[in-house]
Amino acid sequence: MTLAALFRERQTRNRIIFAALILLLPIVVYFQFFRKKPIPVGAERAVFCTKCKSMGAKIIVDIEDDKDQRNYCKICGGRLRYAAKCLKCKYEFPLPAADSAPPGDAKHTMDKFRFLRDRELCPNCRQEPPDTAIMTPDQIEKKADL
Amino acid sequence: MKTHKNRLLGRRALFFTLIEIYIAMMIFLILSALFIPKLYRSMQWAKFNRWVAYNRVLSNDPDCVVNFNFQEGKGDILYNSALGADVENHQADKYNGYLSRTTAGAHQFQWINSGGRWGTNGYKHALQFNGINTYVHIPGTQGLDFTPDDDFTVMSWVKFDEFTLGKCPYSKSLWGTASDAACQYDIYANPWAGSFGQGSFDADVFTTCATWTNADVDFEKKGWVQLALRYKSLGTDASGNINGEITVFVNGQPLGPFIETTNENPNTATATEWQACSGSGLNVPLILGGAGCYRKYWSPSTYDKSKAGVLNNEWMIKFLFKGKMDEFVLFKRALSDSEIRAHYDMGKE
Repeated sequence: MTLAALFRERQTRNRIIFAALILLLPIVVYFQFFRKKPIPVGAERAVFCTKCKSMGAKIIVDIEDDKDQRNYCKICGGRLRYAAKCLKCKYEFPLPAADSAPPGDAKHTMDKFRFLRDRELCPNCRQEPPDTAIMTPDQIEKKADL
Repeated sequence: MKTHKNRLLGRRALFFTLIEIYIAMMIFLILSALFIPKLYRSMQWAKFNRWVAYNRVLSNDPDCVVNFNFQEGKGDILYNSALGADVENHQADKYNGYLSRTTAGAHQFQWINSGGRWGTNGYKHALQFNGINTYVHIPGTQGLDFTPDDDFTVMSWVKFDEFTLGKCPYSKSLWGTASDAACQYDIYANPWAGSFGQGSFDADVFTTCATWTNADVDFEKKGWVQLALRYKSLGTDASGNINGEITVFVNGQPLGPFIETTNENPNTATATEWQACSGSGLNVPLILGGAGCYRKYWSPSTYDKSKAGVLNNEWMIKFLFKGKMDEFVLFKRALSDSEIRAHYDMGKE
């Protein structure tokens, strides 16, 4: 049967058109609604795996978000935190989670800022910023693919 | 299409077959899929253009000193479009914002074209602050220095990546110790609940540290937020103190009465001296993306005692903001509630 003969038969022609449209619809929907240029979100940060102690650079949106898979290590599944380094003892460590409230007597802005500074104390030698510093991605010597 | 004899009418009638109806429906769906996104984009385009026009009107206000619309999309400078500010010897480019880095080297900002409001369609650009070392330095201070006798309003559109304590979108301050600090104005995130710091933001204006309860305004903390800080001078009272009214607006709505935390700390009740940020004191610039602090307290190892009083030696940036910003406007008058609400209405997605 030739193509022309197929289209002469009304029922067959309708079925072909219908099949073609069924195929076309998801393509149009995909290109119109789902194929969007991804807008970069977050910033590249030096991260530290709290489980396997690896360090790497990763685009992080919200490090506190437990549901974001980017906040977990690709190697061991451990929780990632921002990497910091003590400039005195060269100890590298993860910054603690920002899940604790400032103490009740931290009322004034200075008290709150001091509380934030104390989160960056070196766990090894108790140095405080600026002798401890949040690392930038270019400061990591051995970058793991986290 | 088929013809059938209709028993009731007694004549032949035209009927569509089921598959023909399906075909018509499919064509309708395909056309809808083609045109609905275009319609949506047209609406977003219209909103964006309305904002552009409104932003230009703001620039023409003689009380508008700084207006960054972040539409550069590239480069190292935010150009101030407030050309006609009523400030002595005003030159708008003195208030350009320079993308800077707290440590030596080129800035590590990332321009996100199409990353601002209405951004998925490529209209509004935004600047990504990384929270480690990025800040915008506005060297001009003359039109941005305020005393408790002055009124001012700062409005910005920001999107917090992390809504955690201390993320500071802008400041003109010198935070030091409990007994030695100075501030003209700043605002930072404070999501904690408790007897103090119950609200979403803390603001500092002159000698007042203020925090709000967030009961009055509910907003999407990870979405684009219009933040406005307004100070209105109320004059001098009988005892000679200058009083002022501080209001923070989130998405056009005032946060309500604040809790003043300044006097709760006896060491700081009289310590924050606004004079230190301007005039004959250190002329601390306005910065976007962090809080200005005294180097001698926050980084004593980098402080050079022989250069006391030199700005770059005294002043450093801490508590950096991580997120996006796509508009910043500063007025040297107290805008009305409805003007701030209009700014929100014109800028919302």
